[in-house]
Amino acid sequence: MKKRFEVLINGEHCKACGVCLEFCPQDVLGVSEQRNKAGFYPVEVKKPEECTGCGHCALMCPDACIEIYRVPMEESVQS
Amino acid sequence: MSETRAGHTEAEALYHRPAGLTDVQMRYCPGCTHGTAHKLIAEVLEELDIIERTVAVATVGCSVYAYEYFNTDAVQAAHGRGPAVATGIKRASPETIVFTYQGDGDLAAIGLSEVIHSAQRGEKMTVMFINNAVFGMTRGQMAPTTLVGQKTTTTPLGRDPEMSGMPMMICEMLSTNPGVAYLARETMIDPKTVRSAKRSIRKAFQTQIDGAGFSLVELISTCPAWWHKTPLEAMQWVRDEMLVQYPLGVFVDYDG
Amino acid sequence: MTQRVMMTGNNAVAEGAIASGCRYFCGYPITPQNDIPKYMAEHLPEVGGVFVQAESELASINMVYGAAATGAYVMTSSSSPGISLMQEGLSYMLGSELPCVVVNMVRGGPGLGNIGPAQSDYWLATRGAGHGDGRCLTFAPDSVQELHDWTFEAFGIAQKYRAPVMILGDALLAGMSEPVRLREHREPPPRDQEWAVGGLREGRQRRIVNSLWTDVEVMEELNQRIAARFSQARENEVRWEEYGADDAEIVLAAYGISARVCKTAIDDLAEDGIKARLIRPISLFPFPVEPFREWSERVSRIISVELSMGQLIEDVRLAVEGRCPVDLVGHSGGVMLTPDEVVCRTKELL
Repeated sequence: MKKRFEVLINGEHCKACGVCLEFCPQDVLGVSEQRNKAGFYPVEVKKPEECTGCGHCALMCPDACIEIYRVPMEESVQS
Repeated sequence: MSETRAGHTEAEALYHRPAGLTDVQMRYCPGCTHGTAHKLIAEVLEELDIIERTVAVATVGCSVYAYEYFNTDAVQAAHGRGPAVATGIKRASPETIVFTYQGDGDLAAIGLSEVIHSAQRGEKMTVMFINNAVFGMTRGQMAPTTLVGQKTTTTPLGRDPEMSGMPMMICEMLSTNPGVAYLARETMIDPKTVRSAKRSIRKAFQTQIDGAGFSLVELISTCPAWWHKTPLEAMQWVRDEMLVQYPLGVFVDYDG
Repeated sequence: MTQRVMMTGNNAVAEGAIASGCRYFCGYPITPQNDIPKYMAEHLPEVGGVFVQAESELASINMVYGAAATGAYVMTSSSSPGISLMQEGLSYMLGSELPCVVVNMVRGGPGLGNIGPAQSDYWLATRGAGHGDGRCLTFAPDSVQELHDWTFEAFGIAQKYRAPVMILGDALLAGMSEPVRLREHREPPPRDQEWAVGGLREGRQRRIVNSLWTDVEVMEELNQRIAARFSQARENEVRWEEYGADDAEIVLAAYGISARVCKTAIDDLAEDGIKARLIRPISLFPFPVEPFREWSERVSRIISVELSMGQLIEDVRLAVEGRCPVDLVGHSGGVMLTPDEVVCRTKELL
C-alpha cells in the first residue's frame, strides 16, 4: 500500500529558528501568519502531499517540535 | 502497542518526540543546538531502554535547567563539579546509568580537574560536553575553547593568544588518558552530522552499560546569540571555523 | 558489655562511621586527619563499602553530594584548609536538603597554618555551610570515646534534618590514643527516602535533587524549611556537660580538647578554694543557651577558654545577654592551653 506522511508541528514550542525550512528538500514547510504565545511565527505544514518522510526537519529541529508519521493512503488527511 | 502523544502507534512513527524528554519547552535560544543535543540523548535513552535507571547530572550554564528537560531522575551540580557528583552517584548506586551534561565553561574552565580525574579513574559514567566556544548564560564571555581571533565580551578585539592563550582541545587531551573507553567529537549542523552524533552518543552510553570505563562525546555546538549570527549562519561558522580548530572523529573506542 | 580497646581519635571516628552503616567515603589527604581515610580504605571493602580518594576537597565533597543523593550514608573528613574548600559543596548539600557527615580535625590557621591543635574553625562550622543562609549542625566531642560515639550518631541526625552534620575535633584529639568501647556494627539502612535518586524507578515519579529556585518565593520557602529543621534541632539535639562546683562563683566555657584542660584546672582551683564550674557545649550548633543563661545569674563572670582568638565567646555572650561579664582565655595558631595557665588567668580575672 502506498504511504503518505503526516508531519505534526508543536507550534507552541516552535521558536521559528528556520532550521527545518532550510533542510526540507521538498519545501513542505512554511511560516505561519499567526504568532504563538511566545511571540514567534511558528513553522507549519504548507504542502503535506510533497513530504517524502525523509525526516530531515525533525532530525534538525533543536526543540523536538516535529513528529512524522506514516499514514496509509486512504486514511491520510488531505488539507 | 503504546501510542505516541499524537495518538499513532509507535510502528507508524518515523519520528516522534523521544520519551527521554519531558513535555517542558526548552529555554534555549532559537536555533541553539543545545536542544538538538538534548533530543539525541533522549532518543538514545529511549532506544537503550534506560530512562528508568538513569540519573542526569545538570551543571551550570545555559543547560542549568537540563533536569527539567530529561525525563529521568536528576541532580543539579555546582559549577564544574558534575563529574565528581556523578562519581558519587555511580559509586553508591552502580546499577544506575549516570551522565553529566556540561558546557565548555563548566567542563573546560572551572571543572577541568573533575573531568580529567573522573576519566583518569575510569569512572563508568558518560559525559556530554557541549563546546560552543563561549560562555552563553553569563552573556558571551571567552571560554577556554574560544577560537583565536573570536570576539567575545571579554575579548572585544578577538582572542589574542598572547593575552589569553590558545583554545583548549579537550578530546585530544583526554585521548591519552587510559581510563577513557570511548571518546568522540561530533557536531550537529546537517542531517549527516546529526546522525553521526547520535551514533557516538549511543556508543558512549553503551560503553557505560558494558562497564567498559569513562565515555565522553564532545559536541561542537552553536551559540547564535553570542556569535551574533542567525542559526543557519552559526551552523556555517561551525563548518568554516570551529571544525578547523576542532576536527571531528572518534578518538578512543574500546570496542574497535 | 564489650571490652575496651586502645584507639586513636582518627581511627575511632572511622570505626564509628562503619559501625553506623556508612559505606561510602571520599576524601583527600591532609594532616592531621590522614588516619581516617587510611582506616576507611582498609576496612570499607571488608563490609562491601567504597573508598574513593578524590583529586581535591572540592571533588570529595561533591562526590559526597552525589552519593548522598542516592540516599546512602556517606562521609568525608578533612582538616581546616580542606574544610574551607568544601564550603561550596556544603552549601549545595544544604540547599538540596541532603544529609552527610563531615569530620574536621581542626589545625592552626589561617592560611596554610600548621598541624597543631586549634579550635579556630568554630565559626566555619557553626556559621558556615558556605554561602547562603545556612550552617552545619555541629558536635564537638572531647575524647576518643566521644569521637566514636558522635560519629556513629551523626548519620542518623543528618538524615533526620536532611543537612550536613559536622564533627569538630582537633589535631590533638585526632592523634591521641584512649580506651574506647566500640559500637556494635549495624547494617546500612534501606535507601527508602522519598527524595533519593538512582536505582530502578519502576514506575515511580522521577526525582530531582536541586538547589536552584529562580522563583524567589520558592527559594524563601526552602530557607524557611531549613530554618524550621534547625528550630527542631534546637528542641531535640542540644547537648552539654557540666562539671565542678554546684555553688560555683565562676564558670568556664569550653568545648572539645579545651574542656579537658578546664576539668583539670577546675580540680586545681578547688584545691585552692575557688569554686568553678565548667559548661561544655557538645552541640555547638544548636548551642546550649540554657545553662549559660542560668549560670550567668549566679556567677560573677564567665571565661571562655578556647584555642582561638575568641569564637566560642560570641555564642556565650549571646546566651548570657549581658547578665555578667564574659572574658577570653585563648591561644591560637596551634599553641596548646595548659591547666596551670587557665588556673592563673581565672585567679586574675576573679
